[in-house]
Amino acid sequence: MSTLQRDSRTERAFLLMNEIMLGLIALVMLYPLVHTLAVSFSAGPAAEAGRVYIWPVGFQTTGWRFVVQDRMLHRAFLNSVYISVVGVAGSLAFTALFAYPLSRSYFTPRKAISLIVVISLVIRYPLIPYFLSIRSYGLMNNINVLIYTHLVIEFNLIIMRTFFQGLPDELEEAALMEGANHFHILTRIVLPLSKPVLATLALFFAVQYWNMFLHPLMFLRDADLMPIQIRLRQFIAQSAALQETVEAGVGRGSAQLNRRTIEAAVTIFATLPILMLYPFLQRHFVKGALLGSVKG
Amino acid sequence: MKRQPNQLIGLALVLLLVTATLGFAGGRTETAAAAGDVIAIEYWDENNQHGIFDANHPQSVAFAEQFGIVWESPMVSWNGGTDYLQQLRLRIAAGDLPDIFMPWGGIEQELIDNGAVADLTDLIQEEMPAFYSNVAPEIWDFIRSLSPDGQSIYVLPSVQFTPLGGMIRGDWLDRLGLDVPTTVDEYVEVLRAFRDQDASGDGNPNNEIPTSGREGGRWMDHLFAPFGIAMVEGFPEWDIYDGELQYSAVQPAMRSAIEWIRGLYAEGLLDPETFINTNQVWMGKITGDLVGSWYHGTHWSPARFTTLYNAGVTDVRLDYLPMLSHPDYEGFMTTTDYRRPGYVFGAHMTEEAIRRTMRAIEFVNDPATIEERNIGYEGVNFLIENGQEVRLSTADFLALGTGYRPALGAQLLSDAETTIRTNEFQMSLLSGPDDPSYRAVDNANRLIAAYSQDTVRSIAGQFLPPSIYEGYPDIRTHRLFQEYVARIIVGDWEIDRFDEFVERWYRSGGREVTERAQAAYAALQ
Repeated sequence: MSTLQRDSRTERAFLLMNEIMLGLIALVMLYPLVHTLAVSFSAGPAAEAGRVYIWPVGFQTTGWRFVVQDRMLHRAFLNSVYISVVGVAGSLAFTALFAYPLSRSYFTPRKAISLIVVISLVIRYPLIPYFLSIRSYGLMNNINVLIYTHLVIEFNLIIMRTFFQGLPDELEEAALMEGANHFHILTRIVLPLSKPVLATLALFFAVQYWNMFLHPLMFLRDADLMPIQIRLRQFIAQSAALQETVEAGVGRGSAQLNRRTIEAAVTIFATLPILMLYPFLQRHFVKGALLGSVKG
Repeated sequence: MKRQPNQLIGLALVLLLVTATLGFAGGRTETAAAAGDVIAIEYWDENNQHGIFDANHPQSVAFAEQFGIVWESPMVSWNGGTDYLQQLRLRIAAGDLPDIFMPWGGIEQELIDNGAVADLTDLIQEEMPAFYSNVAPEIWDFIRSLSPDGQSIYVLPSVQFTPLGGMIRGDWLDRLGLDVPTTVDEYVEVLRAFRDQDASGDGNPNNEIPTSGREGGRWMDHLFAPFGIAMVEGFPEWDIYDGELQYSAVQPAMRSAIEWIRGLYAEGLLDPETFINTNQVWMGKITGDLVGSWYHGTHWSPARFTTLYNAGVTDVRLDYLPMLSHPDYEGFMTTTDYRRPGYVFGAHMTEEAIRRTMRAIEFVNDPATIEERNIGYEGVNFLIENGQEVRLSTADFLALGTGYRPALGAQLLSDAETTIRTNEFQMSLLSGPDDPSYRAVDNANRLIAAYSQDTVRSIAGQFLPPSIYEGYPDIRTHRLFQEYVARIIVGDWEIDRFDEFVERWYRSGGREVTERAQAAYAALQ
């Protein structure tokens, strides 16, 4: 009895410590976001002087007005939504089509193909031949290049293959007995049972497409095709340059213009959509990531 | 059985096929300007991070008519030059150079040696007479020295006027009944007064920071200048000491400078956070009405002025802090006439394309066109609203949300006079001295004029090629110097450790780099 009590006391203390530690870590993670949000609603001089912490100082919405006005930002936002939505759907479809045969033991070349996948995961392609290849396909300045080059990512492919391997063979055998072909097995049996891994990979892919930066810089030229991260970077660079121009002190918008608040507002604007995905996918996410990782 | 995943895959495939076929907004935007005899010129420089210049940019449209070319300048990430160089190398390796671009990291030599950039010698005096005559002959000599035969011009140099100097709060001096100091001793007295009294007039005599700098011992050149230290933005430079070209950080004068600054720090006259101040924090202190004197671009001062004014310091005035004279040293403010290589032209360009581009670059750099350039272009510099011309500032341009870059681009040449004239033009657009913006620019013009009268000297080491640092990246980044200067000034280490620094610097490659620098300098002579 007393042992049990002691145990539960120790356990409670342990749990409490865990909660405190994790809570602290969560606060550390949360702070930059809250701080940036506070800066975006603060007055320029306060933001500039670093006097804003977690609550806006001298509340104003100038930074956000720039976000609302900027036509290019809206365009970039739509571009990012486009590559993310089409990209995630395409990536999931192609990854599933690739992972399914690799997960079947009777598919003879699967070991060789898996090896090639692993090699390309470890040894990255050199940049220049990659650039030249993509260019030779005529994909320069075409927004879909961002999707085509990321349809199948080795790491995600391995996660999905591992998950498929964990599904009982009996299901597939039964379906084959009933006269189903492999496409039916994949779409009607394997995928419906793979929601956790699909949700997890959807999130991985979404983050990847949303944060894309180097690919658009390399392959896109037109301002109208640039995704949001490029516009965000440009906003920050442009507002930093403003600080040193003579005109910064002159002109209609100058009195309210402040680079820190604009940057903060644009940063929040560019981060929010992807953050909003997490709560919806979290339930599957934990399960999917675990399942993929422990089984080899 | 649920059909969702099946539908999902089908939908994805259909979407992909449709978009691939239609090419979502793919392909270049064709405009009327890009058609016909107009040549598209893709150009790259450090400003490409600030926005986009394409065929639809109002200035591109005007340039198409004026010069028969269209500036096209895609966004290129800069990131301190690292991303820029990586992307440039990618384009070079792919055999797909931009038409004109700013070489970075000493890459121009490689490009010239490999014949990747065009020889401009025969065209430059014909197409860019004003530019050619406005760049000093010794700069052209240096540019020629980059070519294999020592006679050809492959690079357009950047010769921007950069009036970096000391500034002091004139309104603080007025409040305390003091004059602008001219000697190191007078300066110390003024700093003490800033420290002890309520110079800012906010009722708190304890929040004034007499002077401040930034991490790495940077941006406090006004404290080193009295000792005759060659230094640009806090980086020690190469100049003639004892009749020889040498690194200024290892001179006895540097020891004296550090010792003096150490004294300022100990007395509380130098910001205790100097060595941890980031640009932003430092700027925040200056615009937060806390700093009495600092070193920065006098031509950039209007932004500081208006921020202070808007924060309620309506009597703000920035005075020029001249190079402080020292009884034992002959001081000077360092400048470099030659800033860096400006542009090179890809060898793939046709002669006609090069000529037209040169005419455009001549136009944006010719002092004779300054009025025309200041008036600028509709949609870039002004809008017509209800028949009235409404001038636009850089800030307005950002607010227009077009993503376009406001400036002309390819600006390589400026001097005190053109800078002041441009500022006067800005002032002429404003209502008068009651307008804080007018006062800010007027104040900047006084600073610039005072700077051009100050003891400013171009240093001997300004033409050294970056290749002298090959194999010694730490020497190039001044890492050792920055460590010692910080530890000694804040009092962690005694001043005697300066000798250890000198010895370590020479031992860790300084000797080799010095020899290379001297050889390169001798070759230029």
